[in-house]
Amino acid sequence: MEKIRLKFTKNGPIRFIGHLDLMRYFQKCNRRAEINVKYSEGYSPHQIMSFAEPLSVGATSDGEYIDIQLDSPVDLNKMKDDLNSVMNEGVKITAIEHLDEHSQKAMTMVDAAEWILTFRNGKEPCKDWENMLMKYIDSDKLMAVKKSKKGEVEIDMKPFIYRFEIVDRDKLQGFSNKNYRYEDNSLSKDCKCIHMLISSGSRDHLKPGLIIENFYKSLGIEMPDFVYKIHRVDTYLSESDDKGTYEIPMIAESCEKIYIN
Amino acid sequence: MNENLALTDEILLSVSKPERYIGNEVNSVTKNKDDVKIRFAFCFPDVYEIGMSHLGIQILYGMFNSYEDVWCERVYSPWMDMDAVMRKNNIPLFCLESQDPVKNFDFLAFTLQYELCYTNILQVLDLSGIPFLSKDRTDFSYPIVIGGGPCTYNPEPIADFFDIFYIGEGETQYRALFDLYEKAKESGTTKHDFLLEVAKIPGMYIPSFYDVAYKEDGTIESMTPKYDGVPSHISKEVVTNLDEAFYPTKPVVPFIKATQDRIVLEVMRGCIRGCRFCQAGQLYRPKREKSVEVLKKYALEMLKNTGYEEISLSSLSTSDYSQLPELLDFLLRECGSRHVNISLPSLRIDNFSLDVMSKVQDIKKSSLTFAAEAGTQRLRDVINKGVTVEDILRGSREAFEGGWNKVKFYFMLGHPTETDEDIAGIGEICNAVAAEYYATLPKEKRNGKSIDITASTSFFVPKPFTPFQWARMNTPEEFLTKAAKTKAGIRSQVNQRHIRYMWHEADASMLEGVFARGDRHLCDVILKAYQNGCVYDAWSEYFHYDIWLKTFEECGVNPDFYTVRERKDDEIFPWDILDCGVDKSFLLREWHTAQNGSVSPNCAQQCLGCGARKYGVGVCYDKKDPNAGKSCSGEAR
Repeated sequence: MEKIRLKFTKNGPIRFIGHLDLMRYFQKCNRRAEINVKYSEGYSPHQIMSFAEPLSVGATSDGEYIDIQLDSPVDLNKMKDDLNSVMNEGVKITAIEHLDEHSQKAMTMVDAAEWILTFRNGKEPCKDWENMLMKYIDSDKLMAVKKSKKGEVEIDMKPFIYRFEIVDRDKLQGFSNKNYRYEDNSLSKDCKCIHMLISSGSRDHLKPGLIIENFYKSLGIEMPDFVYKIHRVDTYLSESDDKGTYEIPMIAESCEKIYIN
Repeated sequence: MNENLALTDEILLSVSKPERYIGNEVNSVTKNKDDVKIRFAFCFPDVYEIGMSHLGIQILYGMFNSYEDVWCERVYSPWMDMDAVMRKNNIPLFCLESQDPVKNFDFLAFTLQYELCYTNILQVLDLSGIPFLSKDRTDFSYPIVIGGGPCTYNPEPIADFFDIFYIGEGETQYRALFDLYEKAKESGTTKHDFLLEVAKIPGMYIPSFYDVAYKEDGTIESMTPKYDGVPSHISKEVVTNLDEAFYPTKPVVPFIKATQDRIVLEVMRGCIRGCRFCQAGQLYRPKREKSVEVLKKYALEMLKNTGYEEISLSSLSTSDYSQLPELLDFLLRECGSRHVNISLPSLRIDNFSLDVMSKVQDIKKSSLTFAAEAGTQRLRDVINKGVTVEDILRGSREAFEGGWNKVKFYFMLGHPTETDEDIAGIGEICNAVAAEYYATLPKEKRNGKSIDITASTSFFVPKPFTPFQWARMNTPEEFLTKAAKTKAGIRSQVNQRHIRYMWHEADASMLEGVFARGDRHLCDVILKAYQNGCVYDAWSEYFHYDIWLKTFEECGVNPDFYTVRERKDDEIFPWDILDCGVDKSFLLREWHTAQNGSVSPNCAQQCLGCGARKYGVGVCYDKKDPNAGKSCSGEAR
């Protein structure tokens, strides 16, 4: 048995495809590309694969991950090319790697995510919003009500915000991958990007929108719907070495460790 | 990839299933609009998931896009939430591939698969900003509106909305139509003169080119061409060699789950059976098969091109496909290794099909389906459904021994000559099958399970070009009384605990009956009903029977004229101007034979001279075997 991790993008009109449909899309891609995916046992066998973290409908991404189990070893570059040749343009496999046989499921490993939020044209909350947002983030505590299945809990978002900046689109670099550029041509070069690395995954999941929502609250305004565009740069897992605990993209090609105190 | 969407993120994120409107599906075709001469919008006037399940559009979409000068795109009815958003924001309806407004296309084609989609045609025209009536579209500033599909065999209720109806199979004459259109555009002819030329292409019916005269009793006196060169009758188009016809081995694969979410492999067209209620059985004559080699090739290509996890064989009666064992053998081999399921609708239940079924599906989950259609042998003889109780019991017994314990029955209520005895027969058959289960399997072999029977009834709607086109249809009240009797009949059975009963809505059937055999007076009614708020009539949550009844009254049209009136043998029907290949004299013979309660042999046994032989192909030229297909007993699903 062979475990493979794929990194892929979800851009363009495909951003409106829901999570379950994306899963079905990948199953079909695997069949079209004739990938030797391992199937579960039983009378209605299904392909064994696991997505790292669902992306909300409408959001774009350059850093989605999926783990796939195969029946036999493959040439990674060939598999990547085969898949890309049957993919819709908005979805592209950008990296691929072998996983250790005993590695955990992608889903259980997610620890953080890097996001870019941009206000839609004319939907900025106020004139001097960049300074006010940075000031808000600098507060000692960032209290917010988090809604979950179990009900509402009040949390402090502050410890879950690892990096936070506002930069022009053409000056934006990835936090971990310094070569990363945000190529969304519908946005101007000097469009102000809210760029953040925040906790994610099953443990201390923080939605980037919750920060913006509470920023509005601090201004005394109710946040209208659809004010911002949302883009995931990458999805991170947590590891540690002798210097401490750090966050690193799930496939860490040319990436730097980001230490969290 | 087409990055430019017609709708904003805000709209797409506020409606249900935005995937319906964004195009970009795998195998969808994008061309450069400057490189083509014809922009063709193909519409299935229902919601995306239904429309994407339709094979006909996939065939013609692939064929048109194989032409260099044509770009064919798809458009479906926006769901009601999107309908409201588009009206509120004045957003014109657009095609999925280019996201360009439908109004700017050269052609807008509708496939008409069921009568209850008629108001959706008007919704599409309305949202596109195209005038409803053909007479208000006098030049080329709007698309040519063309209709095809089974409902065009009586298109009179929607005649005013269309410029052209294409009668028959689409593969044959579109190229000629496109050539004529390009010539007309180049030479600057008027739309009227263009249509006069179109009328000369076989299969093209231009409804506005005919005068309809009515008798005092409201029936048709005559339908006559207004101009020279316009044919007095239009014959359906037929593909004479299916192996050579275009087949879409790269069908568009939707992102969301369509109603038919699988590869569809069409094995043949037409049916030999001649059930007297069945319109498809007459319209698609003669039965023509594809060769097994061609089907094997298509199957492999489609598996590779789509990635679907299921393949389905499609035809009106798959057991009548002569190469079925070889084809299934091949598919079992190829699909097994790919983890692809095989779905087998329309199979007769016999040892062969049960054996295949046990190989391709989970017996515990699947059920047997018997399309018995009527409760007694007498009535099954009237409708020419060659299935006997003995067939059903034998098939059931074999299936129970093979491990099945779920059985579904389909019946129709309202066949001509139906009596209370026939209705009581429905419960009796169900009970007999349940009893057969207990007789076949001793208690220790049942593994703690029991028999599970579902009987469902639909209401019979007489259709044009069938022997029952002369028949009186029941009223909704009569239908509901019959459903109540059916239920009581089932509940009086010994094994009634194991029988579930379901029935259809009667009001929608009534409307279907009006449109099926309607005339041009209904155009007004349909337009007014749409303006009064009717749309998506095929969806019970949006069907407003009260508005329809009010609109009939408003227009002074009595719906009973079309439904409960029994037609005289010599009545001229609105659809008599069309020729579906089967002669009216043959249908009338069958109508009389039905009333005598006699069955007729099927096409494989004996030729009845229906008229379809004139196409020079198919079963009409096979050697007849009087014993052919005698064990028709139901279907396995």
